[in-house]
Amino acid sequence: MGGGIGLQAFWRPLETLLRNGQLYRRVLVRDIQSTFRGSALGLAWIVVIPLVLVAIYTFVFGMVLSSTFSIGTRTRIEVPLLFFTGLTVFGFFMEVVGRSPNFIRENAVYVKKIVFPLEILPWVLIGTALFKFAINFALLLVFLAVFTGGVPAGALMLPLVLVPFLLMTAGLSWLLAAVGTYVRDLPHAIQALAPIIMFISPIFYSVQQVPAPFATLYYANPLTFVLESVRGLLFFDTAPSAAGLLVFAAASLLVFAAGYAFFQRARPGFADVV
Amino acid sequence: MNPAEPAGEALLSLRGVGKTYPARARGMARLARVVTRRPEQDGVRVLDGVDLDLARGEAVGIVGRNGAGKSTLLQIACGMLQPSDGTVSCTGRIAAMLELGAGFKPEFSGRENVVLNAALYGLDEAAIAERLPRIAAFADIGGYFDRPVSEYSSGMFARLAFAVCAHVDADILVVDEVLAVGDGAFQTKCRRFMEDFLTRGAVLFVSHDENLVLSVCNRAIWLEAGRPVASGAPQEVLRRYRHAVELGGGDGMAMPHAGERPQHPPLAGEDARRGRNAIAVSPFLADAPSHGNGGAIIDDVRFAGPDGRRLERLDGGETVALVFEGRALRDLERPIAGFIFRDRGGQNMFGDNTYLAYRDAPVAIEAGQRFRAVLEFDMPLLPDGIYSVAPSLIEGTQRNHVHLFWMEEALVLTVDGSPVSIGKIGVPTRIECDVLEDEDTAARPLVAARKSV
Repeated sequence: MGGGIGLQAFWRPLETLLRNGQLYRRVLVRDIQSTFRGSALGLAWIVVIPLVLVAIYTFVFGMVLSSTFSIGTRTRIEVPLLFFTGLTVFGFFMEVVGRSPNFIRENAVYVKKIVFPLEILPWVLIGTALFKFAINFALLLVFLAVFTGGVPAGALMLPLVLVPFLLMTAGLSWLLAAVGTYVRDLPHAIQALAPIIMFISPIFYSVQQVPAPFATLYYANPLTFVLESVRGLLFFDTAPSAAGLLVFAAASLLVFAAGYAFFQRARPGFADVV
Repeated sequence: MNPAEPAGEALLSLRGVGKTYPARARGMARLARVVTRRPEQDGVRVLDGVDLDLARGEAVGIVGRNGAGKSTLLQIACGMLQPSDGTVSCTGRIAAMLELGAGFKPEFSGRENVVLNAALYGLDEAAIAERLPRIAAFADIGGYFDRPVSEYSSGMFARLAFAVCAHVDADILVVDEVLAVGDGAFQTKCRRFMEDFLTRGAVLFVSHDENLVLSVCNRAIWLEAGRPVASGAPQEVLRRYRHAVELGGGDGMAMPHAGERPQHPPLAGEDARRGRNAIAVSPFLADAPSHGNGGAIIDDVRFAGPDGRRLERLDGGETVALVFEGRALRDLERPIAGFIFRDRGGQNMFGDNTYLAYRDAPVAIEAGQRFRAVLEFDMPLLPDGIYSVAPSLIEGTQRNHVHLFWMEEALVLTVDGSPVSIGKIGVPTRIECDVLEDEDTAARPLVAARKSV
């Protein structure tokens, strides 16, 4: 985008976040508060929702369909925890991707009435989703410690997977926010796609259970790598390969920079269409 | 246009700024056009060739009718909207007040909204903490400061919103018609703030409050259909603008719309007869918006006296004759002439046409022939305000017809001085009050004494 991708293209999206740090924090806190203000359970919903989902999925997949992860699950409690892990990762991704297409229009006042660094809005989405992710992930680690007697050392490698994942999600957010502002069908399309994405991502099963010709295809879905790596590190003492990490990091950075560049390019026309 | 030379170095400078809103509003094609930076080909031209320099200590007021491009100009000046042509250069920090309380969330308290809004205006944490008490004091809404904004009255909302804007560090304040809120005391506060602000910054604002423009501005610019028509001393620009508005002329826009018309006294002095309902009538506005299938044109509409001559002054309550003349462009078998009398909000107040009177014996008009229709009616008493007459010529019946020629605002009427205190029209009212004794209530005539309004 915009005459080749120099190093600056990777730095700019972070630079704006640093430059508008205080404003970003305010808007982020406001966004998190808005979600729960006035509800009786408040922030507890962040935890309640995935736990209810885990209960349902455990019942349906674990007890009704009696599907298990193919590789060595040791205790009964591990299946719901595996589901919880998958849902937490997927929840982060889907929250950002689902909210992005409408987010600029929802904040039309920042486009038309206030001089505002619009490019930090996707960072706000990331921030809110990350906040929920962090709470759920902390809960997961607690469960893991309680039920399996400890958190594996492999957890220290998680940032190598999660940071690129975050950057890729942010890149997608810029892209979807920019396109969604112009194309009103996008939010509906994403809504229709959400359950599909959920089932073609290895959340309730492992990619190893997927028949051979499809398994390779599965890795075209970036969530596959993230889900498999996170579960491997936390449950199965397997680490992602260095090559896998490198490819994933490179692809993520590319999406990150390209998404941002595209957003900035599309942005001058926002005020005309919101 | 004659852009007056700014006093010092310009904080904000616009050169040849124009804006075309794209014809196709959104969608993939639009996105592609923006991303590949292809220029707009067609669309609605809302701003054209605007030059503006704003230096410290200067206040420039933009006047013009609704749709003249004023708000678009302000958005471009603030950098929210990209101009289609021309350049904007800005060396100062802008605080935009395009909408009072923009960004306020109703479920959050005044304090929380102030903190976020101040951050939106670029204040850092320390500055916010330091100014919060001053903002609260300026807004002067007491304990409501910590209540959700949804509980505020509109006045409180405005005070709080303005209080934030008054305490941000800006070099340029861009204000869109937001100061006309709140009570008198608050207005005075706002005005004092503006004057004080001008000692350190510059103000660019749109207002329909002529007094505000006159008292605060060093310069005024009059926009008409996106083009600057006049620029310079506020008195002179306002005089010309007012004149154009009264004539209803300008660039083919016959009448300003609701809330747009500045106060002006066309009937000042000589004719302020008490209790009378003096109505000034504009000349026939030939350029008023019109539509129709072209079977005829109306080329004159007037209120006429007994001698058929045009009246420029009417009185509410008197019998008037609305005359319209025109020419058939083709043979018309059953033409119907009618009119609608509207208030400034565009609400139909009353109207009539020639259908019933000529139903059984329609008057046919041959192509090229001239015609005249006269509709006589009792003009109601009208409250102060601006009204318009929309004449029409249709063919067929009342239910099933084609529009031959329909004009939106052929005449504009201005009422200044009215006995009507309640409602949309006045009705002569006879008033009588009496203390009633017990038995003889039924025996008395209902109206004993009359007092006519």
